[in-house]
Amino acid sequence: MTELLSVENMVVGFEGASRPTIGGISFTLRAGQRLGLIGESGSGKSVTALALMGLLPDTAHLSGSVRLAGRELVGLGDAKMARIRGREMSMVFQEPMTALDPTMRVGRQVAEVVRLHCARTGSGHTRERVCRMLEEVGLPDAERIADSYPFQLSGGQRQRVMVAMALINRPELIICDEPTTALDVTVQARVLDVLDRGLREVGAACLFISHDLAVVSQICDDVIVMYRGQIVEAGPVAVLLDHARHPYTRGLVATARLDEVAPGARLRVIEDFWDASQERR
Amino acid sequence: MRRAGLIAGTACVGVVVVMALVALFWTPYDPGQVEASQALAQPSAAHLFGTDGFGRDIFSQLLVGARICLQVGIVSVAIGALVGVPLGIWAGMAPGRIGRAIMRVSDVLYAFPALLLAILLAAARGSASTGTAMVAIGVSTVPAFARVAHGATRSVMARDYVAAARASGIGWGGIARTHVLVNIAPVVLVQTSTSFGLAILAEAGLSYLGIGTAPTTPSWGRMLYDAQKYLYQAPLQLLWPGMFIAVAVLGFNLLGDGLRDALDPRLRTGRHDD
Repeated sequence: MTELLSVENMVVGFEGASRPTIGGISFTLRAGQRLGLIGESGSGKSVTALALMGLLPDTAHLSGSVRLAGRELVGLGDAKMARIRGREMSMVFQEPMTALDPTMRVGRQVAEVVRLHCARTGSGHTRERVCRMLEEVGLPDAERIADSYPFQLSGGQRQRVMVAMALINRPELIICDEPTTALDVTVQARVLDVLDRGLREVGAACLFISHDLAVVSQICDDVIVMYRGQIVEAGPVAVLLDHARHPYTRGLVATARLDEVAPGARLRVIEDFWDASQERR
Repeated sequence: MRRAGLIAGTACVGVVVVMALVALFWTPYDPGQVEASQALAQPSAAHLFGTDGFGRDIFSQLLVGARICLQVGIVSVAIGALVGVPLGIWAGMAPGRIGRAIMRVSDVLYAFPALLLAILLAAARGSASTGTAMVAIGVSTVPAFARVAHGATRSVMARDYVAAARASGIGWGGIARTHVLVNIAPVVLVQTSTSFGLAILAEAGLSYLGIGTAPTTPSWGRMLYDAQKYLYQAPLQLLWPGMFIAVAVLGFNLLGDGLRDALDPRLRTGRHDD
């Protein structure tokens, strides 16, 4: 399998911060591979996603190398980057309640992505394609959904629309930034199922960011663990979950297994496994 | 009860608009027709609001004055909005050095009164006219529009849907057109209504001082100026234009406040959605 995305020694620093938010991480993603990225809040997961998409704020500084299908993205102009975004790689955001423009019908928002990247498609054709995509992500009433405003849809429906927006141009890489964190568990399972089928159908690779090990193990083949802007461990999901080498990863895995805690007993926390103060510089 | 202001404002604005429309097709007399024998006539069936010191029909002048006042309002607010809103959006979307520069220049312009600008323009052009008044008032409303658009744009740019739009490959121009413009429209609309009221007041003030509309154009401010000479003989003369200026300004301000309440989603639903 060929390498689709290769990140080498990526460093992201923010103006005024004493240490970089991302301190030189490297990883690769093969075509069609699904890589989970886990870590606690503030470990740099979302910044990594924004850096890959070229969406970092002006106050951030990015260095190192990010190659998508052999093409260097670091230092690429915004106009060129905009042509890659949405066509070769796209992103699903965490908050479905705020990631859709409240003043625009969702069908038009999805159609916008199609029109941006496919020159000369008739509006009837685009509409048809949008509705078909909405049906594929499990919105059977596609015509009605397409004519709805975001506030008329539920959180799960909105997130499906977001997934449809990400998939519709059949990109090679989809970055999901905690796509199901804001949803309740039953809706989460359905949206994950839709995402899983969509990814397989399009044949896209996926960088799946989450703090939820259960979700990651359901979707991903491999996983990397981030802590304070560094990758502390990487490997196949099964190996990593059962035989974690790094104490931080062992802590993450153990704290996620709530069923092993006897009722009434104290819940275990990361610090039981990993003394964070040792690492602080 | 919150709707009361909106309804009252719409009614006041409606009166002025109807007067202006009527004046386009019909006035009881030619507003400029001087008839010395009829000077300072009391209100009667022939002259509804009486006549002024030159024997001109006040009602006809008021009708045409409404048209002038709306014309000044529309043109000057259009200048303010068409220049100010794009500048504000630009500054809001480029928050670095460019944005700061735009807003500082606009702040300087804010400190410059419309009156002074109008005097300067009139002096530069050698004569006062409705045109110079409109330009002066328009230019002085630019910073208000820029400021309002800037603030609203900054808040829109921080929203997730802008990040999502960028992630799907929409460029800056596309985001400005499809997301920013639509989402800041309510605040800009409110600003438009409020500025309209201020523009009418400014025009009346400029005309009263003689640097607004030309002497032959019947404007409410100029009518006030003419009427003050006959303050003791015919005090009613002063009342009419003053009353209509008050009605128009009050109407546009009430309309602006009413729109603000009606368009603010948080006031409407009583919940914070951000």
